[in-house]
Amino acid sequence: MKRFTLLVVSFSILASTTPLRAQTEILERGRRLFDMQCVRCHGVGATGGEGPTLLGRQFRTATDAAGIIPIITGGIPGTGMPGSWLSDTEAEALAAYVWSVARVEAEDVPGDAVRGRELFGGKGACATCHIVRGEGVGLGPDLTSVGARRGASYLRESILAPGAKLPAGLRGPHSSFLIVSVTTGDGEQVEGMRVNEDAFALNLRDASGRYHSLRKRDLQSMERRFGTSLMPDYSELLTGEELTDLVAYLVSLRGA
Amino acid sequence: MMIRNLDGIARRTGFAILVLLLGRSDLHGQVPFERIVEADRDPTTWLTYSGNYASHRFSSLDQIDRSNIDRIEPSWVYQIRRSGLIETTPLVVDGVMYLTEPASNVTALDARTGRVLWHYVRPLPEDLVIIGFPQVNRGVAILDDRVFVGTVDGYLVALDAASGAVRWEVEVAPNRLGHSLTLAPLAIDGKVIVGTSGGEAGIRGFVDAYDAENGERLWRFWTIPGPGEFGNDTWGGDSWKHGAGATWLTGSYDPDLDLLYWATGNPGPDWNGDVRPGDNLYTCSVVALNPHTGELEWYFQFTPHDTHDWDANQIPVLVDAEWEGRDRKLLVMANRNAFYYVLDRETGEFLQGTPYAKQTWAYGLDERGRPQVVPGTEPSEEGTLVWPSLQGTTNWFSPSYSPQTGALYVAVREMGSYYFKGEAEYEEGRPYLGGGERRLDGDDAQGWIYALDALTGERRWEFRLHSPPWSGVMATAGGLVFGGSNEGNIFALDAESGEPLWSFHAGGAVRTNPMSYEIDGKQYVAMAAGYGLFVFGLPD
Repeated sequence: MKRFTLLVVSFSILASTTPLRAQTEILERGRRLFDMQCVRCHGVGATGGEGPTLLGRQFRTATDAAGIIPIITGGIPGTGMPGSWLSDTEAEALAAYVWSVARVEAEDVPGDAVRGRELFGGKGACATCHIVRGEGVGLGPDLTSVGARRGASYLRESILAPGAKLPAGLRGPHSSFLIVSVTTGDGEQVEGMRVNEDAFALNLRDASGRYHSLRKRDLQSMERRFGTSLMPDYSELLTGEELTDLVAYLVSLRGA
Repeated sequence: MMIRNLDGIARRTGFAILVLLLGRSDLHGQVPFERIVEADRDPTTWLTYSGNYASHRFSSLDQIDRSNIDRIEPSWVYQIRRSGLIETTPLVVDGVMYLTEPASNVTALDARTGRVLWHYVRPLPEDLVIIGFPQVNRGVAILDDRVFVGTVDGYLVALDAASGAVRWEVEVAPNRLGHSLTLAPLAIDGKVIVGTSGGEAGIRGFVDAYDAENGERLWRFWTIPGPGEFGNDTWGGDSWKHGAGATWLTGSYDPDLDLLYWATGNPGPDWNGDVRPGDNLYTCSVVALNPHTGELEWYFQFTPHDTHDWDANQIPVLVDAEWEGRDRKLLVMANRNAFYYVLDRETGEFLQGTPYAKQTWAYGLDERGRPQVVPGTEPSEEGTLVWPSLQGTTNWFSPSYSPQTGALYVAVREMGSYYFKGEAEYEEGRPYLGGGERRLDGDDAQGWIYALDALTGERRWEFRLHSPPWSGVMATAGGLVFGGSNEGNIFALDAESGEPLWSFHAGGAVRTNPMSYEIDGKQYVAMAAGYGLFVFGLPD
């Protein structure tokens, strides 16, 4: 805690007294670090991807650039945001860049979120598998705050090719949504999402929501179906305009 | 308990009868040096971190075997007092189990029931400096009537084995510089040997010997030579001052050759080698030391000028075997850098080395064991993809050597990483890294238990785990190999075939090594998972 306080102080000093050219250099250094370390999830120019866009971002725990440093170094537990090994000066530079990006007004995501919401509950039948603000069916991920965690482009791709964008597992090192097909000892076929797996046992949840407790030694065969998902491919179910509206609705979901 | 236990041991060996009769007037915990030397002759006990000085982590108990393993059940469970990671290997002697709990606490238990006999709490300073590892401890050493524990604030503490009271404590190295003791000390004749953690804090590593009686430091071997000493010129400029070479894992000892074998850590800063041109001796090496003086007898460097954090802090396993027609004293190591090494432990001569898992950084080893490095595998600003990952093909968790099968069993992490090079500027008590990694995790990463021929490194069988493990293995005379997994399995494999014979879901990740002991004629196997130590045996 003491160290953190010191950082805050040193950064404030830096921000108030550092000449403009030096500040520009720090921002440039931060941008380079961002391109190397953060782009994979937050997208080029921080426009979002598997992780959220940082344009116009309101940080819950940070009210200035120094407040972002602990997020960069410590990560956000329970999410895909890892901590980092950056040195203090590198973390300061990166925080300065992220803060500058967060001051940029985000462009509105195209589409009509109200129509998207109707599609979600209606034609898209999304609520038959997803919960939003406590309503729906909990087979797929809860989407209540998906707009705060994912970028628009990622959400769009997830709808068009669900199997290609399985959420990285928050439980252990593996995805909880990977589809696994097995044949049991008595010939029964079971296919479902991998809820849990170890070297000896497997838990699957099938499309009806039923859990299956399986021992690997009892299985005749087991196949991990990478690139597939229980979620249908929406590319032919929705028009281009409907897709844009649905994405706009998902982006608007920022928590309960 | 003492008398019943004496009977149990007495049934085993004449040697144990002699020792215990001599020590009978004392309470539990009488462990003269000679008893540890002869540890193999009394498998009812577990007297040193790796089971014996040769670091075999092999139990010659055979009550639990292939025919009855599926009937073993938990005999008792001990829950630690404060949450944290358990990486301890308990010691068991004369019916008492000594284990460490996070961060640097020690508990003595009735090894038959798990009931607490005493508990020592190490008070830690508020400004504790811990850089690059969790607050863990891997176990105690025992010698005569004392139990020795290293602490995360850089001390070595001697406790009275009967009561847990402090006999003495000594500062090994200042914690403000990043020094911590997480290893189980090694107790030999009258001395306690320790090393230090802090390889990510720019420390200068060492191996120390302390007088077991009073805590006086007897000698120090610096793992990085100072100016004017051999090897100092393998460090550009002043880089040797913060060159790391931590010594954070228990070494091995050969009482006949009277040599101590200690493995050394990565050079610092970890991923930016530009500031430390040269081979960086004696990092990523094993050193053979005179235990009386700390003088270097020989060294072998596995990874010269390492830039991937492939420290050599793995267990050096001492094996006596026929090698090319003559009996030789060997030291074998499944190294973090993905190569398996066979050395002559009298001379340090390199005899053989071969990759035992996927690696993309070296074409092979030359006739002296030096890696032929693939160009372009150094960390870079944009990231360089290399196997193994920075946690290595294996890590601190123990392998096991079975004299019965001639195999070295090792838990393997097969995973690649993008290595990044960053800035490196030394600042006291701060991370000194110069970069980092991004792992290829998930289903791209694999975990295995391998059985390697101990003399050739050739793989005899493999057992696939769900993810790259953080726990070691123990082979037994019952033809079994015990191990654990991140997913919370404690399991036993057939030592000959690798076939899974038994598994128990302990409900929390396993991050330690198994051990075994016997009381009243009953064999127990102990392994920690989550916040508990699970002890298994056949039904009474």
